[in-house]
Amino acid sequence: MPPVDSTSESKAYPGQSGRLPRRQVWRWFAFAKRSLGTWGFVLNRVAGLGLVVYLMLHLVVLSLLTRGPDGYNAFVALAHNPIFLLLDVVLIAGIIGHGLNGLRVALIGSGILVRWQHQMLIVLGVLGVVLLAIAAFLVFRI
Amino acid sequence: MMWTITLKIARYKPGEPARTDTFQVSIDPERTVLDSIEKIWAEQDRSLVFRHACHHASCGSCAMVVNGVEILPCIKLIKDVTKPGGTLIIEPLHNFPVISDLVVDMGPFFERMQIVKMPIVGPADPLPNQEPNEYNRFDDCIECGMCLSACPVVATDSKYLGPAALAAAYQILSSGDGNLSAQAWEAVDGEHGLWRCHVAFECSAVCPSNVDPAGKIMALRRRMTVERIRHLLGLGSSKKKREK
Repeated sequence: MPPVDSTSESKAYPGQSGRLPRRQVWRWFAFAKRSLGTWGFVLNRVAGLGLVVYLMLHLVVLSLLTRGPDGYNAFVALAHNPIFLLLDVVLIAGIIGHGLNGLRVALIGSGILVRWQHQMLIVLGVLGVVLLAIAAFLVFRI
Repeated sequence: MMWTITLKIARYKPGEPARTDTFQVSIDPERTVLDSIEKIWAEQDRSLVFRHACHHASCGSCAMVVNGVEILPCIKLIKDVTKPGGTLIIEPLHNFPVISDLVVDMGPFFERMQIVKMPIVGPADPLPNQEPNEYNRFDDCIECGMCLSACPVVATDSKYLGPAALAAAYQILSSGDGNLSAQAWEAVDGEHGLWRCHVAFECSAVCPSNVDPAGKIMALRRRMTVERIRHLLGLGSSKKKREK
């Protein structure tokens, strides 16, 4: 019996070239069906890249100071918009996630508490959610 | 009881465009994934290329990626990876050159093991007049390559020494008077060595022999960190031992 359908999905998979596979950056983010450790790895990658983008935007915003008080004050007024406040919470989530997970990675990477790396991720995750909830409350209250 | 399942298998022949073939097989869910692939080869497509030998997780030669995760299909039961009417997406190992269909060139794996002088040849026990570690087999490693395939760092750094070789290096250092050659030290402690690991632990998660390569890499890091701190404090250096 021939294949049911041998042509409907003719896309190549990465590395399907007979040569050494090319760099596959997308696999940094392939966490589906992977272990908890990979989820931590992906969290750090995503949060790290997000923080880099934020720092770029931060510098752009600070450059508004060169336009004098009016330009900067106009942006500050805009920053009180709930959407901006929500973005602040996302930023804090990135900082907390990257910071706490970074602490875990630093410990494990130095050979400390290696056997407890999964448990550490869970405990620090719970701590991060609590801290984020407090931060979100403060952001929207102010 | 038989299940009818669909297998979408990555196909590649040198000089031809890559494609995915879809097959349907009726199979007992208590049989293995390898059984279903062999059934396709026997009954539907004799050109399907895949590698296998022992059928009991001893040789590691059949390793492949099924539904996004590295497995040994010879011991993975159909009922554990799908359901009646379900689909299996089957690919060759990642991070290896593909020779044909599901068969990859394992050269990159063995080249890495060779760097730390842990060639996987010969008997497990040293022969008389044999250099230490010359023919020793690394722990319970079955050289399946799944750790290298699952590692997200290897995906973007093909020069990374990788889980198995780094774990083998730790094994050598931990075994009595075992030591690494200068070339091995350069690779282990170099730009693409043990500091490149980003602690995803996926190598240990997929390892079918519980070698725990990530745990050994972390143990090696701890050892190196302690050595460097001792060196900074003037309490002795690892250099003498490395040059021995």
